[in-house]
Amino acid sequence: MIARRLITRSSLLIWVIVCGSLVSSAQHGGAEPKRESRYPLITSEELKILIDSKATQDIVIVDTQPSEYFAEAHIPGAVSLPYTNRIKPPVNLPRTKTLVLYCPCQNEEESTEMAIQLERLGYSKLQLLRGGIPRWRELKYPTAEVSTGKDPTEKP
Amino acid sequence: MRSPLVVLIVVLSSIAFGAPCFAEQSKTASGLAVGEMTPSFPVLAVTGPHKGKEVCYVCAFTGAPTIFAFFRQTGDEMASVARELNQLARRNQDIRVVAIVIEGQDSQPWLEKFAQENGITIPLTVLRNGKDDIAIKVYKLNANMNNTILMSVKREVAANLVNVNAENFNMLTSTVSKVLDQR
Repeated sequence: MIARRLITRSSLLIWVIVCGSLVSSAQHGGAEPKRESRYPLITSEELKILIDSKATQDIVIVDTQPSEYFAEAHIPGAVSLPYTNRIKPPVNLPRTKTLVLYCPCQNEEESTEMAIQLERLGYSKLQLLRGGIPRWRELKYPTAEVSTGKDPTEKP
Repeated sequence: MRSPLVVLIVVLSSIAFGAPCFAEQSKTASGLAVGEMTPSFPVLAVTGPHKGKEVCYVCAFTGAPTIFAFFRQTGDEMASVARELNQLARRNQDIRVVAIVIEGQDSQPWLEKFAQENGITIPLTVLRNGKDDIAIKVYKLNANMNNTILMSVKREVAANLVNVNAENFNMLTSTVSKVLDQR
């Protein structure tokens, strides 16, 4: 019962954030220059709210950086799926959740390419993090690192 | 049956002559090999429209053949090659060129002054963590080389040149022409 209520709550929060960002970008184009994107964009600020409110049950954050960079710094909770021009199935990502992809690119070039490939593999719930990890870092949001033999640890 | 002495001579010869050759090759080798994929890596832009920002030029220039020129450090040697690279970029509008200094963020004032005084329009950048940057490992760079110049086409290394200078720069020019012709 509690779990069901939590899921409903988190879904509602995601819905509010997505609608909010759509309305906001329609009104004044957002703080950043408006760009065409093949997939819905989520901002770092919005993703941070989801993470902070522990409402990430319905999403999987996917990091497309090379694994060495993922080990050094990634968005807390993200899973690593390094960029490749040909994703080889099987892909160990759930199809029922929204995949939020990010790359080290400012204009989501790599995450877009990865999303296209995932879409071809049957993934339909795809979102891209606007500005990728550079924007996340610019905002001085926390990142996690992978320490050998330890769980990912957050650092400010 | 072959005499053990002959076998011994062959083995010793290969150790005596083969090993130094191999060592020499590994000493001068630097950078990803031709055919390898160019992974994305962030740099700190010192000049250009993204000045002061973290930029991934591999991602940004995916559509165009791109030259990534990694320099060990700033100075006269880098200056002469960077000027040539700037000319090369002006002559070939189809290609993109980025200069990356391994030395790191301390090189920023020198690079800014150099770009201003020489009208350099190619982006001059530095590795965020200098010699400790992950890009060195990911790109298999030998940080002792004066420079490592990689040309990438469709995210694959098409050419790899090491220790390019103003005197042998023609080597790079002709390589670029060949790569562009093969596209």
